[in-house]
Amino acid sequence: MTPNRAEILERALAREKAARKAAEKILEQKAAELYSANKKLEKSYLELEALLDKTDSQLQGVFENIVDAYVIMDLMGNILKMNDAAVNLLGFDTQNVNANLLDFPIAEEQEKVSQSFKTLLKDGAVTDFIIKINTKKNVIKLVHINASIIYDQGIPVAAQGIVRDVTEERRTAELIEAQKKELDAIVQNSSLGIVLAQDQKIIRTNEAFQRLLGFSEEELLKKTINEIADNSDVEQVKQYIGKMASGDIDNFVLHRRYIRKNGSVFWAKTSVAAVRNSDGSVKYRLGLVEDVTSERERSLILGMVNEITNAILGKIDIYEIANVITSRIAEYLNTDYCIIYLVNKYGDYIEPIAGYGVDADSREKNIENAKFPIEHGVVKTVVQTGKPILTKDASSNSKYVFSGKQLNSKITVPISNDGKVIGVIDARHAAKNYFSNKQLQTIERIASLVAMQLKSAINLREKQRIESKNEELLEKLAKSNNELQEYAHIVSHDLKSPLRSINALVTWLKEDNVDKLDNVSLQNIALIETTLEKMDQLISDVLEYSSIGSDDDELTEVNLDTLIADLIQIMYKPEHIKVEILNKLPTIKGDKTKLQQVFQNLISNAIKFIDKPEGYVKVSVEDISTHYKFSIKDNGIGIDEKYHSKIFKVFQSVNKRKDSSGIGLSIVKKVVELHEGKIWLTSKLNEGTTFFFTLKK
Amino acid sequence: MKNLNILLVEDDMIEVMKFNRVLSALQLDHKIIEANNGEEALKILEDKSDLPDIILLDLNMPKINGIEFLTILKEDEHLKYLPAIILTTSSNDKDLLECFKLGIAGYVLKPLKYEDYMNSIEKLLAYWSINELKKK
Repeated sequence: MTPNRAEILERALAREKAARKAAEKILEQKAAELYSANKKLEKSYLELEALLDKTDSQLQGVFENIVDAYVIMDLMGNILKMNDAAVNLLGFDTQNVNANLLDFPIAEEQEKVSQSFKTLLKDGAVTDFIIKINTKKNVIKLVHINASIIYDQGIPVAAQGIVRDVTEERRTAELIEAQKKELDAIVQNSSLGIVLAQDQKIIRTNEAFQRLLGFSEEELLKKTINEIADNSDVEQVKQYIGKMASGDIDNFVLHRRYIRKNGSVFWAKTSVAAVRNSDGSVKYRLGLVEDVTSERERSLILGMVNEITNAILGKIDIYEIANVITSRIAEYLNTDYCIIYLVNKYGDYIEPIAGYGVDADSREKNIENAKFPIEHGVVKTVVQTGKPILTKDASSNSKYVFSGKQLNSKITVPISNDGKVIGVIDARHAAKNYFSNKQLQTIERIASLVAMQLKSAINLREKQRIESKNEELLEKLAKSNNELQEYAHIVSHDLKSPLRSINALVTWLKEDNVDKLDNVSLQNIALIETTLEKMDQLISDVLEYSSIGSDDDELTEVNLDTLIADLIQIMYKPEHIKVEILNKLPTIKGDKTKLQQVFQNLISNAIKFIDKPEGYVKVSVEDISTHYKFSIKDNGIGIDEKYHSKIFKVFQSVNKRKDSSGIGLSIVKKVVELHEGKIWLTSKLNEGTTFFFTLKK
Repeated sequence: MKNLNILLVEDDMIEVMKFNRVLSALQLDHKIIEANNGEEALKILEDKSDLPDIILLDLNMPKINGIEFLTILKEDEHLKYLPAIILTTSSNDKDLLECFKLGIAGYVLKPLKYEDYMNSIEKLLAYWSINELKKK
């Protein structure tokens, strides 16, 4: 053994001794603790036993009075004891029954029950155990169980449980859950936008609301109501909110504008309801938001249509009608430029008849009585095609500058009647893409609505123009007729005067040279005189013809029977010609002198052209309701049919005779027509002629 | 039958000749004062000491025509009593009515034939020769 090795062993022994000492000390300490603990345990066990005895009797009272069902069973599940509540719950009639609790759970729950029974036995307690049971009265109930083992001197002897019927509770909870889900579904799926706000802060929104505004929920939750609403309506809203805060109102409804994420604006019907704290102060405001832009548009259109219809109803002035239309359309389109042009019937001229936003001065100067040729452009296309045009961006067109403003958007709609463009509605706005197709359609509807009225107004204006023109013409005609009349008299005088002079001079020639003139010369002088007479007659006839109908002689009752009888009496009639009136002639209203002329002319004509040895002229009359038909029949030479239409024309004499100017029948025709009648004849050459004419009764 | 002082207002030379020839043919001794138009006639009528008994007046004349002359005549305090007889070829009803309205003493149409004319003038003058006229 080396000293080294002995040294090592010595050190090891020392270490071992020390360790044993330490262990002994720990053991000693633990034994003491154990003893003390045992003592304590002994004491508390005694206390507990006493307590148990005490609580047993106490528990008896509690047990009887407990509201929940309380059951004590043995470890096999047989009921040892239960209170009245348990009797009720389990469907017994009395407390004294033999039943096993394990029979109550429904079949599907058996597995669960045996599991938890094992747990009970192993752990000594089961809490919050929920199962379905079938009671003695055959009612399925959901029950909540808390159970624990009862020990006797540390040995499990029985189990006790508190059973609570949670059927209703659970159903209510489920119902609430279901309702909450439903409500959420409703809120989320509602077509109404729904927003919950605290003061102005948005705290909840639904999908519809997000869709309406184009923001996501997250974006919205960072915003206030004022940030998404158009501030034009803010004053009105403030008033409502004030009333709500003071408790005057619980809800309000208003139409206001909101601004989408993309900046566009829409009108919404907003119903706001207050959600109040228990102290009555407003906790939240719930807003239901409904986009009524299209509704509003519809009602705006409807309003406009109504207004236009009412305003133009019964109006006949074209400018008035057009003014109503332009101002209403401008209002509807929210623009300050709208003009109505009339298109002339050839479609090459337009005439502005009303302009909204065109100042009064230029309206005076340019709108009324102005006309422009349609040379090119949108209006021309619209007039030619009859189809409307929506111009979205005319920024490149310098013609669209009005009052220094470039008008980039334009609606051009034709007003058509019977497939013809009679007018054009032209509305413009400075902004690009300002007008929508929908607005275009509306203006089209307006155009078709007003077309008829406008057309009749145009017609009326046309009629008035023509009427005033006619009046002018009539005046002119009357004037020129008078002038012509005067002229005829002067001409007649100026023509007749020289005839008188010639006659006097020829007479003097004859008188002064009565011895020097031979027979031939005297015959020639006689011929000059006859020619002068014929000329004088001609002038008289022309004057008379031109005078018929021009002078306003009063019409009188003319008794033709006596008038014509007298006339025949004084007329020249050759011996061999008989003139007779076959039946009594009527009395008619007319110009006596002129009517006499008619008969005189026709009868003397008849007499003149009778070539038979026994001649006759027969005058007769026939009543043909509104008129009298007269006939003057002779057995003269007759008139060839080819001359029948000619003979009534001025200077058309069939037979050239020295005593005929060729105007006679023209005068007759004119007088007959003056009495609203007609004249015609039937004739056979060499057999005779019958002139017929009618005179109004 | 007394002789008349006649103012003949007539622009046509041949008409004047006709009138004078009728007077001489009928051997009437009336005094004829000739005026070629209304203006001339008015000048003649200025001499109130030597006013005619009757005036024979043509209607269609240059310068002052018959109706204008008649109007002036009838507005004059002295001259309006002079009987004026129209002698014309114009059968215009309007003229005839206008003349009677202004106040004429006759309206005679000149016939075409000289003999008829002579006849008319003879009767006309015979009629006025037996008429009482305003004393001078």
